[in-house]
Amino acid sequence: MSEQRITKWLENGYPMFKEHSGLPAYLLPERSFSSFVDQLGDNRILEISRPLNLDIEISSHAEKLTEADELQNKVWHEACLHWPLLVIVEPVIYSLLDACDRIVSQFDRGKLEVDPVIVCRNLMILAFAPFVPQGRPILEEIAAVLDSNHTYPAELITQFADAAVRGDFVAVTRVNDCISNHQQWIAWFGELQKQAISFPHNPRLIAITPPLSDGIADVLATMIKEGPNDRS
Amino acid sequence: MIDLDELIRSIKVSRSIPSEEDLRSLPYKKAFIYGRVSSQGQVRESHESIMEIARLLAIAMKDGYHTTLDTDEVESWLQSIQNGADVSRVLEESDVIIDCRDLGLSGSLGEDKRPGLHDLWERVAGGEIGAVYLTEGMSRLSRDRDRVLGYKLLKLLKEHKCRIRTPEGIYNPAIPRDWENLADDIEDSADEMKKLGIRLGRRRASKAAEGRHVGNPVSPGYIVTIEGQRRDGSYILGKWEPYPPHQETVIEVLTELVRQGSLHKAAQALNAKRVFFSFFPQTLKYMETRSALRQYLKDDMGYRITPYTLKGLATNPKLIGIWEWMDVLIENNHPGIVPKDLFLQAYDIATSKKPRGRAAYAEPMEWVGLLYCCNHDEPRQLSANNKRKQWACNYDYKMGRASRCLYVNDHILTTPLTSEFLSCLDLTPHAQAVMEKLRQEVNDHNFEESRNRRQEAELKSRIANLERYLGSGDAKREETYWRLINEARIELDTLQRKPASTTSASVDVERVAHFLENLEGNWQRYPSRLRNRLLTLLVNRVDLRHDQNSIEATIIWKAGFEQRVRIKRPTAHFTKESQWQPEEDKLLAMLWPSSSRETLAAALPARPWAAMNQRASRLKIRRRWEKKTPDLAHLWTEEEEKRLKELYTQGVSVKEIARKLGRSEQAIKSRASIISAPRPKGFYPRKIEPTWESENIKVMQESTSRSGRW
Repeated sequence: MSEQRITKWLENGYPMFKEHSGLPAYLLPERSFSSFVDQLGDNRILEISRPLNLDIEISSHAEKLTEADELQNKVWHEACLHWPLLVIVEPVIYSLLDACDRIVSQFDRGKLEVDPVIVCRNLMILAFAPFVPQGRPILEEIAAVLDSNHTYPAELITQFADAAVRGDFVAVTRVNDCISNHQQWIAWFGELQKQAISFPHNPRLIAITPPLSDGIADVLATMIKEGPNDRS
Repeated sequence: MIDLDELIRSIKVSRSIPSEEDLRSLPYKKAFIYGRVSSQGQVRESHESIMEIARLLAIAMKDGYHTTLDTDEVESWLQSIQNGADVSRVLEESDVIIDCRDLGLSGSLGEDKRPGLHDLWERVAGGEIGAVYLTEGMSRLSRDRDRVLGYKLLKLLKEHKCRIRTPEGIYNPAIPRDWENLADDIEDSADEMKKLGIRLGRRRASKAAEGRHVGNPVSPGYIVTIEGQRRDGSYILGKWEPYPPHQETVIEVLTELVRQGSLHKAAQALNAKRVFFSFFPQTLKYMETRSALRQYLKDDMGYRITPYTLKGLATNPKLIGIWEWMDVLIENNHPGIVPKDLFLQAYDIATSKKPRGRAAYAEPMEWVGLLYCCNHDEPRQLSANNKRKQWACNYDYKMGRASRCLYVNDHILTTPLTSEFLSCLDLTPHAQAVMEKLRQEVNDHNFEESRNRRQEAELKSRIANLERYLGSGDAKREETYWRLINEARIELDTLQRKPASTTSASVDVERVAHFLENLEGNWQRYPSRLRNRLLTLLVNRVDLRHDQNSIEATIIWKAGFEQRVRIKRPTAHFTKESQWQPEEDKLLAMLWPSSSRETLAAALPARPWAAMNQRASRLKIRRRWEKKTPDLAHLWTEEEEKRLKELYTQGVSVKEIARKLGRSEQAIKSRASIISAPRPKGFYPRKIEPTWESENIKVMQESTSRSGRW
């Protein structure tokens, strides 16, 4: 995959995907996404998707990809319009961010009572499982444990985060047991973790780009002109 | 046996209010005859007024007061006082006290400045006096324009049922009618004083308009001539005349100010050179109370010059002959004693508000003007203390309600704010536009110029600063300054000769994008004025809600985004062990005034010098003042500076360097600061770092609003 077709395809389609999913511009910005997938490259993307057997499908799809941007855009547009799961993208992401905020804050204060690695793994699986067919069984099992509905994945994430934050060992352990029964998901997270650890950058989740005014351009130009103060 | 009617009558009598006649009855306790006229002239000349006092004695005796004092005897005593004889001014015998200590003292003076009135006050308050004998009404006791003293006295007399006896009659302030009469007296006296004040003011104004001395302090360098003497002995003073010994001093003082360019430095140099205003000779003794020099600090040699008095001189237009009194301004009223050019130069320096020294280079603190304290009814802007690098909310303090509600070190507050702000800021999409702006400026040939201009300005400022130190009269010092000036000039010359480089090739999108991508990492290396400009353009304000343990800051972006940062305030280590113990306080109080620094360090080894200083200040103990004169013989040589820089950069302790170079620790610290010698990295202990959590409100708000759907 020296041509990095998957990477380019994802980069091309991401703006359209964001637009259709209703995510605000500053959240998971396009630049961050581009640099993220660029750094990953086709091979790593396939490695991550291999445990869930998604790599074959992705590869075959990549083979069929055409070079023309216009055609790719059209394909993305069509896909976004007809993808039934698009509507849950936004709530799942918000739910995941909220959960991360609460758990990281508790972890920073040294008050998180459950194992952070387990919490992280379970959250990632809960966030990704709704978007692939292989995720349905695991979601159903977790929903049963949390006394919830698997068709509301955002709610599942929130409920799991609540349990982790309040130190509900029973709920967390039972969710973990469910996940442990699905080795392919364990392997998927292992691969994801491996790639994340080796990833050289920390992509921004939030990036605010204020509209450019003469004043801002002038200050930035002055900063470049004057250069950093090396004496300090 | 008593019958019922008699009983009722006796009850009625015992409960009835005393009659006015009873309240005015004399004799009652002791009689105090108080004599006062307003001026010494009146004492000498108003024979009738003075003899009235003797007549009061006769009245008192007639009223029933017992005394062996004789009217003739008192008259001759008063006569001797009039003639200025050195006799006691108080006569006291049996029931009568005659006090003439306040003869010649104005009625507008308070009881603290009138011994007679003070004594009367004490005696009345002590319940000793039953009647005060006055030649006139209340005007003898007080002519206070504000009426305060008059009414205070009246109240005191009322409380002690004391009568006031004048040749016209007896009054008791406890009787409402008498109170009204006496109060009228006070009002009349006050009105009289007011009218007198107006009359005198007019007279002064007309004299001042003619440029004549009107009693205001005579400026140093001048004396006021005596044109004659009035019958009361007071002088008739004429116009101001130069007084050559002081005139020379004034010129020398202003010349030094112009040379030094600073009030403080000039005062220091003048003191080092022992320049002062000499005392007036015996023939001009009267000037001691009339000259403005009376407000100067005095020592054995004369009147000393301080920055404060120096400012007074440099801003006094009377020194060039301009007469100034209220709205009167007359040029060439009296001879000027200072060349006008010199005065104008000195005036410029003394009134200049341009910051000098370190302050001239101080840049604004980051986030200045954007931080608001929301612990009040309305948000109040925080004040930045640039020198101490601290933020404070002074609102309560300024309003006199309470102490400052927030007082926090800069890094505790701004480090989390900056960090969180930059973590969300992404300006990389504007790389192209910024590059266009730069390219446009390159085309205008001002790309490198901007940087050069800044360096040029810095060098010029440095040269100007060094030039100010010239003229100290010390050859070694002059040599050092000239060396530094020449170095700076060479650097400036090199910079000015540098050919304009063609940098258009270096302005490309990658460079700009690299700058924008690394803005967060390099943020602290840019001048704070630029950082602040950018912050002001992007952030609307930061609302702070705080308590003793934490600060909740909400960064409100102009783009509508909000970030909430919860900062945990680091707590100081106020452990029991580190608190000052009573025995330590005792030791400090004993040693602090006179012991050396070394002795104090040995006596209180656990306390650093700064802690001792602070504690002494709290305990209000002062060190004995030691006069420090600059040691001109012990200047820093180039070799010494080089050695100092070497040792300082290696991280050798100040104590050790001081020992090696044979100088004080303070000298080492000061010089190291002057030559900008750095300490090795990690030399200083780390500051207490703040800890914080952040929350991006808009994201959370959106998440909350959608959570109901899913």
